[in-house]
Amino acid sequence: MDKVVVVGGGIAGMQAALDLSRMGFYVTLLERKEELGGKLRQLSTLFPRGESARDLLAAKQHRIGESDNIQVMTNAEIETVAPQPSGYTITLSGGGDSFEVNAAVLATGFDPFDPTPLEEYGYGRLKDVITAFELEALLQGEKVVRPSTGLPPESISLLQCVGSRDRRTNRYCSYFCCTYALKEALALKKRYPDAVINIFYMDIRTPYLYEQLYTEARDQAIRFIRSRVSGITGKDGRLNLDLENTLTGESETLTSELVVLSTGGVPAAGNPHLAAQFGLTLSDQGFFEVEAPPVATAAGRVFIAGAASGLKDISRCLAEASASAIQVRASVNGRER
Amino acid sequence: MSITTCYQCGLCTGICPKRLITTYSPRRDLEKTLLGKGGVDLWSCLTCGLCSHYCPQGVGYLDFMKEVRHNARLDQDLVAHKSVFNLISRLMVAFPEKSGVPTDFSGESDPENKVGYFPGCIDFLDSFLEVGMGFHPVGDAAIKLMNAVGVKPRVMGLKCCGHDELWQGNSEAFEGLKEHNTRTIKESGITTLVATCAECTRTFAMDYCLDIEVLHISQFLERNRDKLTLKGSGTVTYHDPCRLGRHLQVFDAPRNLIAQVEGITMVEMENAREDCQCCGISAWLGCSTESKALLVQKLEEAEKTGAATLLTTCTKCLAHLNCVLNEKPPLKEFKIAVQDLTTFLAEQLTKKESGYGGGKKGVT
Repeated sequence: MDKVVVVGGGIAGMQAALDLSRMGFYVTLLERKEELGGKLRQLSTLFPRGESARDLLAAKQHRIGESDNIQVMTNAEIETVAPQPSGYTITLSGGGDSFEVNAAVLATGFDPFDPTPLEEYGYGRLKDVITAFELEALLQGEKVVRPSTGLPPESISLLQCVGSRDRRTNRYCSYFCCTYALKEALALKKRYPDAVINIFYMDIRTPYLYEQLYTEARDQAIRFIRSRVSGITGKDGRLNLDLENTLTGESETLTSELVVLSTGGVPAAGNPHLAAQFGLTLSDQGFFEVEAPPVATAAGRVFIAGAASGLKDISRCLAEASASAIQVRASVNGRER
Repeated sequence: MSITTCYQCGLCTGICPKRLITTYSPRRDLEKTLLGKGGVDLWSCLTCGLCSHYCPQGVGYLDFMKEVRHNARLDQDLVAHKSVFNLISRLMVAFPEKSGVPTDFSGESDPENKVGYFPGCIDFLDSFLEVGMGFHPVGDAAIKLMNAVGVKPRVMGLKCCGHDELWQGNSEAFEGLKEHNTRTIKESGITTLVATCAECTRTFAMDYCLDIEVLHISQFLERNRDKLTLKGSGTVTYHDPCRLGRHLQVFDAPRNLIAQVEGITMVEMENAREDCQCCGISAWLGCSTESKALLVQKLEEAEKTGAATLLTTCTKCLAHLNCVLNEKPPLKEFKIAVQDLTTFLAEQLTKKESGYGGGKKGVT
């Protein structure tokens, strides 16, 4: 039986493992953290249809649990990779196991952008300034409340492009923030119909069918203010946002009770180590470079799936995971499956 | 980056110090220019560079301003002090052989030294401004400090650096000054030019094409700070002039020198370094109640630190801030004093037993 290592137990890694096991491979699924799930674990609902992230995760985990061909190893990180004629020998860190594989799928995902260094937003200093991931955690629960008071906010502002399309942080567009912000705004509006919800944006980027959410949000009276907020200050228990509304040309100070920073993503911290071990190259930004998109690399038997090669939404992660599995089958010569 | 990369996000306007007091919008001016509409507000921008520092695309707003002001017609009513400083620099261009800034300062100088010192327009400021302080001592202090680190500088009787002409869009006058100064500097054979004013430093370093090292006095002294024994007492704060700070990225040198003074406590203002708020006026443009509001705000921010003295490294910031302190009747009662870093350091200088400069000559 041919063996494959899948690095990363997020949605892309789980899907790749499932597809590979169905094709008759024996899969070792490595996860750095204690549990499988990756970012999915932190999300409430998924755009565009609003299914529960928890349900999707449970379904995938159930199928992985049922498979005889998937060995899940958590708290596991790769220390070294040694090329072999038929694949690679993988050694795990901390005096961990060593095992041989015929191919590898890297699905290391991304790390959320940390907005603390962008002092103008006051994240870490102002309690009611939170990140979109923190809002997702609140949306998983019963109530969305302001951290400072424990009460639901009457006005909420979502700030786009935090850590994206900015020379001081990351020049690239993080791809998913516009759509998740629309999803979050709509979810908030549904729970708190009287709340004023603003989205501050430069351009709303909703690829393909996600445009529907944009239309729905406007239909639901979410306010779109074309501006990049220049500073947030706390006053009398509320937040003041300084900005120029670029469509009217007016300089304004808007007040909000809760500010959500639509933070993008950055390459996973472990990418350079893995790239060196597998002999792969990283892009200038730090994501894995694919030679034949979407998943094939210059190293013949290593494939990249999901956000490890650049930020993307869950449906594209799933598609790349399946594509990786197919490519593994095409590249591995052994036929005794 | 070119202005064509502008996202039109408006962050520049949100952060612009002028926004606090006017409806000025850098973004709108870029939009108008990109759409070929005209009607750009040429003279409101302080050219402080805060917008470019924060711009997600790094649009070079300063270069944009320089370009749109190039040969633009400036309403002379906008220029403070009845354009007297422009008159002086125009006379310098008109009478190239006879004019230069005065170079009569105390301390030891050496006309053969490869290190040149340019005092800038300080003596002219003394002649035409009444702001309750003298500017001439800045030159004396600079030479005294340079002597203390063993350098007898060649005092450069150049013409005005042309900073204000450049930012007022008077390109012809600027080019005249630049041409003359460039020739004089080349002929002098100096390899380092030191200036006490942030504006002179920026202009020589960024707007001239000199093949020599251009340093602000704080940078020059910082390199030699182990030769300075400085003692004092009290608390000070420091204002980063836009020309030295955001334009030239010199933030540490003045701070390191202040830290060198034994017994002095340095406290930072709320907005320091890259975030430093503009003093309120640039190139003598638009001195008004609006710009004074910015100056008052600056002094309030400085006083909030509890410091007795606000130090700066730009002759113009020094002039504008002292002008507000000296306003009659007072705009507000301020306790803080505003002083140039050079004179401040010279006052804290303790002469070493061995004396200074003993036989040592040349570049350090």
